[in-house]
Amino acid sequence: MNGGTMAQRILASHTDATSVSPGEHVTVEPDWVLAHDLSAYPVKGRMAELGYDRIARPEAVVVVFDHHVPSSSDLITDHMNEVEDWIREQGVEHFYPAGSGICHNVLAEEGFSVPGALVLGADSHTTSHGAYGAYATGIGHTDCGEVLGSGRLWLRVPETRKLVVENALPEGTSAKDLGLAIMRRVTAKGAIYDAIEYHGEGIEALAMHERRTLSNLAVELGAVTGMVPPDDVTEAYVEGRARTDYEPVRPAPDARYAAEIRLDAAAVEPLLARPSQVDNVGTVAESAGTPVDQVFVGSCNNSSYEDLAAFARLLEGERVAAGTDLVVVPGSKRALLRLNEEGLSNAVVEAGGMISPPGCGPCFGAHGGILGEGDVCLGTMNRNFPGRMGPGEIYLGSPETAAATAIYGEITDPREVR
Amino acid sequence: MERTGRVHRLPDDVDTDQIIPGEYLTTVPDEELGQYALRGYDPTFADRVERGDVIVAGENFGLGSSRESAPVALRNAGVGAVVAESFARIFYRNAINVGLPIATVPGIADRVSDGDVLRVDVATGDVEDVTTGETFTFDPLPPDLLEILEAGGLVALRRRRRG
Repeated sequence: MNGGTMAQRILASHTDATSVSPGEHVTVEPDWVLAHDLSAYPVKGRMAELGYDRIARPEAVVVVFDHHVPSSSDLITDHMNEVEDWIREQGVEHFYPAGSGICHNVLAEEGFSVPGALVLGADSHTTSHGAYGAYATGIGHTDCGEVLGSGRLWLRVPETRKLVVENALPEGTSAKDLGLAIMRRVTAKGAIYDAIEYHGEGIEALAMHERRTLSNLAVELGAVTGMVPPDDVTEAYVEGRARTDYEPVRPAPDARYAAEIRLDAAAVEPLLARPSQVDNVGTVAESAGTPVDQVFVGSCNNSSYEDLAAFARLLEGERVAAGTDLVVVPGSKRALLRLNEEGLSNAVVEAGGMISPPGCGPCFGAHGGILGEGDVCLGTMNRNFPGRMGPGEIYLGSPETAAATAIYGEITDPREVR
Repeated sequence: MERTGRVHRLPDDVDTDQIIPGEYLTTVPDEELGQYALRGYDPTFADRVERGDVIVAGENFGLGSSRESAPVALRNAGVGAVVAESFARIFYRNAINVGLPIATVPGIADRVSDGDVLRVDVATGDVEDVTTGETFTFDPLPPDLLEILEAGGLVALRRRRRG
């Protein structure tokens, strides 16, 4: 087809149309439909209520148990058992039980996330797979029931915003800082209903796990999806891992963008989102000295092996400050195994930290590490909404900032401990 | 698709965690979700809201999670419609799918007060603040989405079609 942004081209390739225009409603057939324990249970109910007995394409469905793991109540265990029985009965073979990791990490590491793919997931952070060149977006329970039952779903074609990151990140900063710099610039409502395409040498310089951090945060900008055009870095990651044939999709040279935003990565400093909005961004230096009761390293934003290794290397040989709890939750079984092999889990535990089984951990507010009244948490996750992890307050920062903060028990600029 | 009710005025960026906190997800059946509506924003909301009341919010209403429990909680608490300057997109889809009338009306939030009586017609795109007499217009939903909303949600529409 001629013309089109990545979003338009990928959507068009999954419909009967040759081209699609922003604002148009199109019916798509996704490559993958994703659900986790927390969403699969209501989705199962909705699918039946919509009148579907069978999942249309069980081979295109991936279910990962990641939120309530290990289960925290008999009721939740019952729900999980019910979901497991159901998907087996429906012929869903791509099932990853508790302990496998967070759905987005698992999808990427197990080769589901490939360039040009269309991924619909019953989780808002499904935007993560845009890092691999996919059009990936979050849907609710009824939509997920509908797409499971019929194999198809209507989507509205978004406008695309081009986000160009010039230069590379300076020493002492990482992708999370860049993500927060973008958050500060675009704001939490700056890209509602739009797709984002990430461009520029600042993006090209990023490894896949770093790109995933940005695409993961796209939903926090209000965006439908946040995509990185596939390049050699993408190819090197996906090659030998992809489960399916794939066709990389890049924007057309004459693609039309609703807006272009430019940002200089060289000017990025260690940043934080302060309580209780993701776009309440300031420098770590400005908040330095704020006492912290808990440091949480994990969530689908910063839980890759590389994120955790960067964190653990800073912590190695140090002690977590008295009065501060350190909770580390690897994003996948693969990440945990690698940390173990390299002695980095030991470094965390020896420093006084806890390592929980791979999964979402405290991030969604119902499973372990819940904050008390007046507690302050510095976490590497993507949301600090009021009350998200209990009544306490949440700062969002990078794994490096988390390490420096854990050592001193107060918000600390990671450049001070390098 | 007309709704008339008392206004509950909410700010920008009311997120899904505030609408229905994570601890109630999957452990509370849909029928009981109403009593926890907006608990993370104002624990007294579910007790104060009366059937047909209208939420008027600022920008980005419903940002955050894909949890459909958020619009279900509002609907089951008796909220007749949500009028906002803008909606987060997953919430927007979910609201239509569960039959919670919504209207995107730029510029309305600062012109309507808590306790005003608001009349909203989602099909024609007309809003009237009955208390002040001020009127607003907005682009009504496309017919396919309006059909879902009028039926009371996608499940209700399918049931009706199955007969």
